[in-house]
Amino acid sequence: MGLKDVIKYEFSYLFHHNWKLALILLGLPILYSLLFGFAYNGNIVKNIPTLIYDQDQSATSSALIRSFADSERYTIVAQVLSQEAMEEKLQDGEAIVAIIIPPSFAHDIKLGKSSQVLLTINSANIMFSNAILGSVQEIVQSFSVGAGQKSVEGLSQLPSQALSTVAPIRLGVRVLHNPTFSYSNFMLAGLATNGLQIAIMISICGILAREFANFALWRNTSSLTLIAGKIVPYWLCSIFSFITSLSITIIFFEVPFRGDIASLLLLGCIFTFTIITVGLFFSAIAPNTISAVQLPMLYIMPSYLFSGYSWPTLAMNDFSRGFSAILPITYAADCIRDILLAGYSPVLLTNLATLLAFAAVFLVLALVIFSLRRKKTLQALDGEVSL
Amino acid sequence: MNWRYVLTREIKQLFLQDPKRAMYLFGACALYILLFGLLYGPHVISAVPIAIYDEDQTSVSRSVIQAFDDSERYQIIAYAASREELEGLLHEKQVQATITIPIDFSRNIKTGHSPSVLVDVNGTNLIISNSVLSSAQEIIQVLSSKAATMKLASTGQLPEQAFHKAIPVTLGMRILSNSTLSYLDFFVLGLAMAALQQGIFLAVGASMIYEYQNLHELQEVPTFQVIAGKLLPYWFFGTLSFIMALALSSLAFHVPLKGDYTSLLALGTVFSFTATALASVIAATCQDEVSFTQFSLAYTVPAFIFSGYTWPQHAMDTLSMIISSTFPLTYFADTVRSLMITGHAPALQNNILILLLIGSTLLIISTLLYSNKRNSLLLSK
Repeated sequence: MGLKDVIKYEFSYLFHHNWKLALILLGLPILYSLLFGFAYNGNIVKNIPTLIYDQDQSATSSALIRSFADSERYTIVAQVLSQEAMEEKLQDGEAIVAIIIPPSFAHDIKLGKSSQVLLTINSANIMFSNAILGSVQEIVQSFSVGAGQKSVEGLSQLPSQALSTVAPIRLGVRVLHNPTFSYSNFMLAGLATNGLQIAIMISICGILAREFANFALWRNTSSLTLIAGKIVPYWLCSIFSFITSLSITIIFFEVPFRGDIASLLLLGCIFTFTIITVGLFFSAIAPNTISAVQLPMLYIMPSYLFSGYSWPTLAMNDFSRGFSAILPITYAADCIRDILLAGYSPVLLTNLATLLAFAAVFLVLALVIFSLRRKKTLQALDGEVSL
Repeated sequence: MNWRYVLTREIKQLFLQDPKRAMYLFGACALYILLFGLLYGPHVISAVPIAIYDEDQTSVSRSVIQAFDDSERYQIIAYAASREELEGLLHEKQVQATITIPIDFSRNIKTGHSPSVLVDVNGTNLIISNSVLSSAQEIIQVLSSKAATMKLASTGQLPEQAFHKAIPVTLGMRILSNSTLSYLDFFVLGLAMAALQQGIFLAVGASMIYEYQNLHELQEVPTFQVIAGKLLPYWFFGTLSFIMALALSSLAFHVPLKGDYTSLLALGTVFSFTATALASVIAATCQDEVSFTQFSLAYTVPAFIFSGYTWPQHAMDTLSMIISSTFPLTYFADTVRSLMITGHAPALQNNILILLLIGSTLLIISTLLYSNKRNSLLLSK
């Protein structure tokens, strides 16, 4: 049988005999994109439950509390009257952060003594602490500058002059590509890529393993034709899944798409092809279909977190960097996010070349191992027949 | 034959006949702790590569650069000679952030024009941009305070007085439970618990599917005794694996272990029970071990993301909250971390009750499904 027949056979296997595989390959990435899109729909952590322990109860302390209440990051859930009550509420999880204003807060400011606002944060979940650290300095500093300005005006300086006296250096921050610190912009592209590779892996890895029991059918077909014919339907479906899952994150969950479609598509095509060859390799070495599905877990589960997509490569030690370097997703996920958010990726070409090199290695390995095992099985079959 | 026979037979299968089940049960979790303990070993982001563009070239601007250089958060890898060169470095991702000190910076401070130090940061990776933003604010505030104090002191105020006038309100922070904001303490436990769930799933799945494919072997044992005898070892060894995981994370990677052992053990026992029961129900609906494994692989990532372990439930919308509440991991992972690193978990009792409820319901369903399948097989015979 020729290449066309193998392709036809595999298509009909995928969509007719074992339609669940097609469902996984086409449906799972869509499901993942939708699910994770909903999970991160809030985009930023806001309305953090906040406690106020105002020991001063003055107009000045109220003004400071108002600046917290005005920020969408904080929602004041209770005012407490003692340290114990505050700690109890923090421990009970009623609030994540407590703002403590010391007694004689207003008085000290007037007298020209520094006064300290104290924040107590429960940082078991870093998401909250990050959101608080990113906003609290700004709030307290603006308040301090306002108070300082008034105090210096008392030294007979003009208001504008007083302002520059107390805040002589300012910080201008420009956050490129994701200025709102949106979590869905940060996470969704990577989760979609990971979802896609999970779908490809778990649907393809039985592909060669099942043929070992089926060789009589392919006696006159070369291993290369067989593998090429099997790749085509999976590749086409994977590219389709790549397009649909990213389209969902872009259209429904408003992840920006600033790059050009051609680069994205090219990367998608080569990445899916590489993952297919990795799946083929696992399938070729697995003793049976069950192991063929379970072996790739070794690759799938840690690969996303080691890809440098969330925990960056620059913060990895040598072991992690080495491990990260041998995972194909390392060369795709971060790059896809760059194309979406920044509009370009400086490492696109090198990544494409690396992925192609991976694909070539895995394809050759899969082909050689498959051919050898096939030869052995056929010899055993012939032996049985001649007996 | 009774449940004791089934139990002994199961333990033999688990360790001798099909040892990959034992490997999943004990190995998945331990492997995760080792892998991610190594990955998050640096704890926090440091040495973020940055580039400096100093248009001012004065002693004041150099003190700004010195402050960034002194912070372990940053590593200055280039000094740009022009705006274009600086942007090029950021564009090529050779640096993650750039610091620009504008022309006349030092003079503008003296003349009271409050110049800005400009920080441009690549925002694509939030972990980097968050850490750059908060530390840059801190650095600039310290510098600004110093400059303000000096300026006021020059008007004849005593230095201490000048400081208080310039910075009337300071910010003090007490970060409880994970004071260094270590990613290792934050992340590894949850990943290990997701792997524990996966390990229990695969082991129980293999066991139950074997039983469904060989229903005749135990046809003389009453249904409930089969289920009890089969699942007890997984429940027990699942709990043991949980204990080993906590010990490993605490001993090898120094994740704090502040909670009391009874609460942790109670929670682990109940979760192991629920995960075992859930796996046995899923196994009853799967054709073979292949489809079970496929399901379990597809299940793990959403279960982790929706568990509220990283992205808090607090920030989810109603739909996501509902989805989140259907995963047993939601009642487990966050509570384990809370117990481990803060020493208490307000939702502990609630979560144990919910897990017990889900687990018991699933166990009943699993028994019914098994009995149903066995009866129909016996009838057909």
